[in-house]
Amino acid sequence: MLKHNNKYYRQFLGLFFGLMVILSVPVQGQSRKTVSGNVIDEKTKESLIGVSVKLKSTNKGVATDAKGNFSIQAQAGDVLIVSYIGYDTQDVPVGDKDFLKITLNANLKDLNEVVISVGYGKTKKADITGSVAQANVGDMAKAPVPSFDQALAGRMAGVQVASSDGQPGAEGVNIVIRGANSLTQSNAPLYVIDGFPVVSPDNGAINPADIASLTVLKDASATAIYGSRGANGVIVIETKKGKNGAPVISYSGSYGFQRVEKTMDMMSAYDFVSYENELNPTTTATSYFTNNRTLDSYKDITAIDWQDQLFRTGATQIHNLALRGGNASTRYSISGSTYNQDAIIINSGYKRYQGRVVLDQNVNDKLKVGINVNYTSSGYSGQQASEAAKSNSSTSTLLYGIWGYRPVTGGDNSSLLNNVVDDAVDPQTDYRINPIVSAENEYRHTDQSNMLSNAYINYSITKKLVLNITGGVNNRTTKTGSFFNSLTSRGTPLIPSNTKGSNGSIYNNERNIWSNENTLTYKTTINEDHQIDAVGGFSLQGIHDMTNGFAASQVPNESLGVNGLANGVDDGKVTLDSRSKLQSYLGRVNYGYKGRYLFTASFRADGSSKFVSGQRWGYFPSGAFAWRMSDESFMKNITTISNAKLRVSYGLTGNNGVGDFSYLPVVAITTKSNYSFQNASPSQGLAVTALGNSALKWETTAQADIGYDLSLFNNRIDLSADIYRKTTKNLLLLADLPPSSGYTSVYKNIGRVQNQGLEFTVNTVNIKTNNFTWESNFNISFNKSKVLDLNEGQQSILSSVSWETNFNASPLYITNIGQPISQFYGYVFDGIYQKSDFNTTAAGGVGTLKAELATNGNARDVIKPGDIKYKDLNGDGVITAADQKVIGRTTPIHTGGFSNNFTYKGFSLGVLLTWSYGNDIFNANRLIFDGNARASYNLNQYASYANRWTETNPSNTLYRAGGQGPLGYYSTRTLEDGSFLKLKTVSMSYTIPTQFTQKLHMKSLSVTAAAQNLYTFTKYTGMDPEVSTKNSALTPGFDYSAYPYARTLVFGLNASF
Amino acid sequence: MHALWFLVLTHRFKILIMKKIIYVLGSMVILLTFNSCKKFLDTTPVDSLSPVNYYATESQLNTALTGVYDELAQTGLYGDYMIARLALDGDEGFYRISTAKTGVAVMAADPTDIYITANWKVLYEAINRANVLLANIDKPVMDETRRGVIKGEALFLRAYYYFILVSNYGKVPLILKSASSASASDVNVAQSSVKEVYDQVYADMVTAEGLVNTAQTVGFGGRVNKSAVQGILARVSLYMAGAPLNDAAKYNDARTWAKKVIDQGYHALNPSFQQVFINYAQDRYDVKESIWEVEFFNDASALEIGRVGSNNGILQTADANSPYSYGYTQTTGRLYSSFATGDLRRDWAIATYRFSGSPAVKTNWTAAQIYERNGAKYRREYETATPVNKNGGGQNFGLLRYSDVLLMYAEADNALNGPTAAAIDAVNQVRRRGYGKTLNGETVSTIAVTTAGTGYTAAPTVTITGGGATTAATATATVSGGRVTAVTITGSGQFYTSAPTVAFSGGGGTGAAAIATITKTADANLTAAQTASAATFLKAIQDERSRELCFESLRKRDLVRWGIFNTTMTAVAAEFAANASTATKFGALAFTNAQARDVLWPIPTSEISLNKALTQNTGW
Repeated sequence: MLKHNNKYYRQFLGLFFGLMVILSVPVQGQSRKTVSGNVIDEKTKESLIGVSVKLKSTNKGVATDAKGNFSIQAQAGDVLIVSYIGYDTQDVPVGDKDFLKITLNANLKDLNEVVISVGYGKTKKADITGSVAQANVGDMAKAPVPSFDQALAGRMAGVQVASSDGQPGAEGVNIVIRGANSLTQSNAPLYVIDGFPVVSPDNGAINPADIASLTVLKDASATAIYGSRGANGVIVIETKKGKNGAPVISYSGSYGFQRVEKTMDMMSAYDFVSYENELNPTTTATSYFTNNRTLDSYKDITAIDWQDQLFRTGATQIHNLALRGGNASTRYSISGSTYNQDAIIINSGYKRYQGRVVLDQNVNDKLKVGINVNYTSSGYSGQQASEAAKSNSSTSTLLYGIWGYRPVTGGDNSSLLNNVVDDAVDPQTDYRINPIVSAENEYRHTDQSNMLSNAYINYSITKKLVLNITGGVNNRTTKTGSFFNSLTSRGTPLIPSNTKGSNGSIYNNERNIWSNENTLTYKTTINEDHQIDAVGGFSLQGIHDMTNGFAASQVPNESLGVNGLANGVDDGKVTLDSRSKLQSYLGRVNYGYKGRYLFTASFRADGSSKFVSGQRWGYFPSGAFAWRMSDESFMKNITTISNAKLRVSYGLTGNNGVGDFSYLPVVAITTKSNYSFQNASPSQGLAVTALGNSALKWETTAQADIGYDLSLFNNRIDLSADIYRKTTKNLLLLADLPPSSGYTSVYKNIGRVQNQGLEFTVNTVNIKTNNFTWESNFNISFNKSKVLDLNEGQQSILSSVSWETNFNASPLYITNIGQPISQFYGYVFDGIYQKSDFNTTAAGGVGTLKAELATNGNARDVIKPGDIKYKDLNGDGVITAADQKVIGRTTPIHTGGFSNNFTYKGFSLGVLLTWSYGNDIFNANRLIFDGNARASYNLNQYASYANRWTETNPSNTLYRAGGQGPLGYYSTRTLEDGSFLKLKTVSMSYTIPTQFTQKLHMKSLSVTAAAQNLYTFTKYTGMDPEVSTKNSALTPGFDYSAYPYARTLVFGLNASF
Repeated sequence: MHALWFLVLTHRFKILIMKKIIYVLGSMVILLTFNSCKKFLDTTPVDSLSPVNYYATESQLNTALTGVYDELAQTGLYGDYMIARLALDGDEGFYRISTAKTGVAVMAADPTDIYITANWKVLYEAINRANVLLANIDKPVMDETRRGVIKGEALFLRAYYYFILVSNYGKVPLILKSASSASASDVNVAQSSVKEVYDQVYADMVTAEGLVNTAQTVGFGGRVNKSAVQGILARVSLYMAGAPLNDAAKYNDARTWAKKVIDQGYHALNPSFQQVFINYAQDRYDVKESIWEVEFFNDASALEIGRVGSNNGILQTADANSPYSYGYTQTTGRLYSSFATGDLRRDWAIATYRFSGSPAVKTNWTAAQIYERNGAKYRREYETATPVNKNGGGQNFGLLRYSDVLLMYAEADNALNGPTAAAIDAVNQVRRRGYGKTLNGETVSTIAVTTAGTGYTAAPTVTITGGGATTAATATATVSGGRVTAVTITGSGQFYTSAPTVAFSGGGGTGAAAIATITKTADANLTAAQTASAATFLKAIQDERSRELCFESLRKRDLVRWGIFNTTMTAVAAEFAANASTATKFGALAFTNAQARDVLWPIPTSEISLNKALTQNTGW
């Protein structure tokens, strides 16, 4: 696989660099009296509009136009002063040149002047009192990914981004800010998109190229203004708006390839047959040692490579087009994009079409109005790799088929390649079907359309007092269609338990959210020393969810696919409709004294319809103090320190993440509660399904944060460190009820969880010369969770995952009071029983296991040399449930990112490394493919298992064929270190010199290349350690049949006109 | 506290300026609040049913009642686990899976056992459904008689679920009203004593008995009827009379309730023992014999299939086109040998053959292979409904048969009065049906060669005539050395009144003669020794219950209430050591494992870890 990739890479890299060399030959200018020129940003290469260009001698000057061009009368001895807000002023001697190409450097000293969106307002970075991180959206946009969340990993301290697997389009990216608070509910942050708060938005709906800024609010002083929804952190996204100046058209497009990052080495034909022979000599003799074949014959037979057939070179195509401009009163931005991806597994992919219009109008001095409308239509398709087609059977997943399908038969392989099932497999217990046929035939389509529109009215009552009213609507529809014909795992009649025949379903979900926010902002400075920035407001939001759909079985006309479902037999219908509402009052005051002592206090009151009247209202105050020491006299003189700030904050935030009506009892008529009288079709029966809990109220998180910001050497080094502790109490927990109540569980405000951690960020400008710069960002986060309390009297929660019938009831995770949320739990693998562990029989053969050695859960008399051995923790001589213990950690000790940006003249190179350290992954694939726990016949194994225990190869790591011991035991054998370091994103670009682009009437043109998931350094033996196919706070880090990650390489153009 | 801090901070700022803001903000808030501040947050569910609004009509009450029935067929109860997986068959059989070293099936459970956990959960879920229904029973305006029927069935079912609980778990929380809140005080209910639970079960069933319809009116066994209530009341009374309560006064109640069923004159034994079970397989009702049964429905997508015949049938896993059966139960030698010659029940209750290969082929077990045989009362090969699902079908499971009522009557009567003619007759009715007397009358039992004759070159034809048979017996002769050496009966005939005549013809020889004897009804009856005393009669009844009711998930609790569970299990363990073949010796596990604590199951961990008001059963 790697070989193929290298070939592609070499070809394209060669082409790319060749092009750059040709284009970078310098060009000479000519001499005249009118001097013209062009001013661009040193980093972004974008033209700068309205730059002041003055003659030093006369102080007369001009400003650059919308294309960054200027023209001025000057003499050869003149010096031009070029200045622009936020940039270093430059003196440029005219000399004999008549065209001047001027590059301005962003003024690093003014970093603290950067304005950051903090929710209900913006604050200068210098004045921020809380823990707020801003992403480098420019760098993020260079990653060839469909949505911003996939480019967020490693960018910011305290923001942990992990994907479940590489399935395209599926909502697999999990963002957790400062550790999980909740055990059973979502830990996803709140998103505020252009001022519109959305819980669990479709992140794919936002074009990453449209994002102007992305800010993460982490501590309570920053998030408490979002009160009840702030506990998991807040991500504030602002999209790009129109700018003053002539219309600018910008285009960026890229095209590229994807290959699977890693495949597994499977057994050769010889190894496979030799394994089968050990497992079941009788059958092997009749099925493999026929046609004059012996075991040795298989040495010359090539194995079928099923992975090679499933994985393909995917293609990615991205186009972004935008028109932006404006004048003093009107600014506009119109943008559109397409993203098209044929993913690396056949018949799977993702596509998106998106458009956005932003309009800002100053009606008069006092009144501004604006609108921002985004529409996205997207869809993804393909078999869900990690989902079992048959309920909870490991044998019905896509990769089980790929890895498990035989590499060879005893005769001609063509029937194996072409038939839907393998005749040598027992369809009663093993549901594998030809994975290629299955992947080609399984129809799964999810189509989404998403419209997010916002409008605002901004009225300055006085210069200091501004009223802002916004209204927004988000309409989202998701249509999911699936169809399983007779050539799929769920539809084939060749598996006897498939009773539904060809079947499928259509589900439509519609989610409408409306929101209204009204704020008054007052800003003033009194006596130059007292700065006050206060905001107060009122907001309303409503969410309406509707789902309907049906499933049908025994569908007669397969060729019609989902559209033929109407002819099938009713297999269940769904109609759901639910609403929730939120009403809020909010206020915040920032007070600064001489810019040195900064105070913030905020308060929010939220009322939620999810609780019973009387418990609806929650109150969330916060306070913060910051001290800019660098402005104090004792520090002012230390020239190496350009900024030093201490921040301290404390506050309360909440969470109402339960069902809209979790407080109410429910009775329901379900198919499962029916009963058949007198052999008639079952009559409807009523189930009492939910107790409801009228005592439900807000979950509250109290968070304290101490942070320190330090900038050294004229901002060349910028450090930021935060230490925090947050304690969540009245946890909204789906708590188990004693079964005697007749109910399984109920939402309760119960339990306490603590998260504490440390975050550290360093931004450095390592080298900065006229032609070459090197900048780095390093961030690292440590988080430790601790459960302080569980459901009344409960000491621990055991959690299991459903993936394989024989293991589904075995717990793999434990959450103990006083310990982290969810740790791996199981047996300790203790090697393999060797011959010396057994008594010798009178005849000199191998007898029973020596009495002083513990069993492995099987009866002593059936244990043989080569069988798996577990540690007998309680020393009672037998392995029982009591011999399980905590065997690993599910969460990393630290995660982080290290990015480096290099520029040399027109070249730029960005490299992002991300890592995760200290977490374990349970590689369940190895239970099946590195030892065949189910002892299935004709199931291929990983190549590694060829080294198993045999009489002549007394392995102490891999048990003999059939030596797996009792089923359902999770042990450290397949628990692996999940630490990794990923070369996540590499981006390169070359900006073609303005001289050339001007001739083409272009403002700028650059060629780009970008790569994603280039390489992973890890000890993990599975496909990728960034995996969690059963992801939840209680069941993380589980790997079974994950969709592999793709290595993506794209080449493109950025142009603006 | 936090709010206070906020206020103090606020106070520090220029109050005048703040006033202005607060004024504007305030007026805005007032404006909006005026509208509908309170109503804004009021939402009601529109897609789910609330118990507050439901139970408003008769049909809704019936739907709720169906939900209470539904639980009988769930996995944790008779849909799966109560059949062949919870070791409820006591000394009658053992769990086929030789690798099963732990779990309730081999009496090596622990309180986390998934089968016990599921059983407990489904019972209380059922009780909760009944409780909510009973709490709302008076809501609709409707015919009071029909309301009474719904109430009676719900009361009875709840009592039956408690009966399963108390007889298997001992002290359990007795919850007669659904929890009103999620608070610990409402959901952590302490255990009531065994007596309190039984008293409630008994009282509720007595109330139900007066409300439900008669078996004739109901017309099929799938719905609770008066006879079912009476019969189960007899069973409850016997359990109360036995261990652990040992309330001897209850024998009288047991006798009374059983007698009520008998005295109706409506119920009767099906002439054919095996037909009772074929009826279950073929979804046919015979409410005269099968008074109450759990109903299953064959369509897998309707989620009402059951594992009757699948868990406890004859093992068949190879042939995908024949009904699949896990065949979890194999018989003990003790059960097999308890059947006397002539007892036709043995070869129906215990398999005479096994299935192998695909297509499945029947092969007879040899006479030596006893422990190898599956329990075979419920045979999926007789199912007629299609398609045949792998994991179960529509075969019903009997919860109360008339033969059980007869045996309960005899047992109670014997406890009160010693062996009476009525009690003995009740047992003999069951035995006579078991021997086929009602189906076949008297049959040819032996044919002995009296004269061997000479010159036979081939087997002569055997002709059996006379004797008043409705169907004549048939037989074949064996010839050796020109002489007829034996006659083998191939058909026993039906309804002989006297011994028939046996004649030989053909075969090239002459002179052979034979004499036939016929059975006597009295062969089926208990012997005088068995009915000699109350003690011997009790022993006879105990054995008879096993022969008649084996594999119907009743035996373990019978042994427990008689106080002979542990001695019996130990004895069976010894029999395994002495008699079982090498391949089936593993089956002794459940019997060697059984200890005093096993008369009850443990309170599951899932319950006791949350409900701190509970105490675990002794020994667990």
